[in-house]
Amino acid sequence: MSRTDFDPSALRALAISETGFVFDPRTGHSYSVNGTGLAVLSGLREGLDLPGIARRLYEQFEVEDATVEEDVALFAQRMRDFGLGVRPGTAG
Amino acid sequence: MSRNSESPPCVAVSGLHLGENAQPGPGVIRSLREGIPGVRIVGLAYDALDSSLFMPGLLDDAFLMPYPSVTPETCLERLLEIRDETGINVLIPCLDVELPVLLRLETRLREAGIALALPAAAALARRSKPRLMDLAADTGVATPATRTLLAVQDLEAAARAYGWPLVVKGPFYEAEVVRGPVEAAAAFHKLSAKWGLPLLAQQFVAGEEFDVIALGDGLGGVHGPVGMRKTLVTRLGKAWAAVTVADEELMETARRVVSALRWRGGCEVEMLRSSTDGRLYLIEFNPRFPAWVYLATAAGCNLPLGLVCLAQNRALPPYPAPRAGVCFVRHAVEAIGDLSDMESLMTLGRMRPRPAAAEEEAHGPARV
Repeated sequence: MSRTDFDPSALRALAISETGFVFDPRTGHSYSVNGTGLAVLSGLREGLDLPGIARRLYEQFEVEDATVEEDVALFAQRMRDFGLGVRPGTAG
Repeated sequence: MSRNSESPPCVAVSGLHLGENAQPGPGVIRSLREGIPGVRIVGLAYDALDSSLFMPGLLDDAFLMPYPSVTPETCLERLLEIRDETGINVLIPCLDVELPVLLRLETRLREAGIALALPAAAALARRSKPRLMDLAADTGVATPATRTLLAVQDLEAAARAYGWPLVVKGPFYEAEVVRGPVEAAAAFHKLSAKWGLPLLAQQFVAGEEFDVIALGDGLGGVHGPVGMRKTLVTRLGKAWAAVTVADEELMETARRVVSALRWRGGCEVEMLRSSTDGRLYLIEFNPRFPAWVYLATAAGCNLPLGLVCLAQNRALPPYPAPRAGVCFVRHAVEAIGDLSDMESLMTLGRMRPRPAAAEEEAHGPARV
């Protein structure tokens, strides 16, 4: 998976609060994410690719590398399924 | 009774029923009360049970109107009677079916001191459901393929052309998604009995609906557009809750359509973002403000205020970019009236709605 799966302008437009409330102003959908999800979103907005985000999480939370990569990939897929941070019509 | 141009306007507003198929009048009135200190509001009702009649603080005066299907002369006569009684000097029609009649009366109403901001007859016809495909083609916007249904037998050809499901639509209001011949025939008979023929069959496009409200100045200018997505819908597909959105492509598409029509007045552009190809499809253009008009006011764009300015040939207020993430949820309450209200409406065609503070006075304070 490359970082180009996500649209930087769509990611930038997201309103993300520290409590984990995420609002997509283009679609009007809102979401709730946990601390790990926030860290993934934050990494995507900084332009990191998924392995880079996984490495950061590994360092932060001291968990097994393989689990983190899998979880980040799953989270990214969920975002795509919801059309979050991607161009319209590219959901799923 | 007369009012000079400096006094707050006295505005007649129709479309007063906030039921399951909510009408725009209450949202228009709420916006005007916020935007114009001292404004007087006269409600034009078509039914003695129009809900706004019984909401304290919404209307200053209220009258029963003859249905728009009677002769234009009868409507004019009634509006002039109401003007003589109340001094109305602006009229905001909030129902589609009023527009053809008012277009015929526009000049005479203006001469009688009642200002309106109506679209041109040609623009009204061009946005009609049967001609929507042409409008979409002219403005470079996608739209689901649509054909006219004159008889129930026409459904077969529509289904062959578009497949199932398809959308059966009334000429003015209501649409049903049908998944097979039996459902389609039932929808045809139901909608034609209610709204008359022809009906329309439209290709079904899967996706999410986004709607844009705007004010057109009649010269191609589009003011204060606000986009939203419905978050709760009624059985009829009407918004019971919604949230404002900021989608530049959505706004730009709506602007293009409103501008191409050189639309004058309030309007709503209904679009659908396809879940398969991501494109925006134009599905309807409503020739008046929608019932959710107050959401736009809450998001920073008081469009009914602009409509009054437009009608009175005054400069429009500046409209900021609307705030995204403003939401509403409609809340149904029992509006209380009594026999004297009904008597007054049904015998005199007029009632005096209660002021805001009168509810407790009329019915007594709560007791334990």
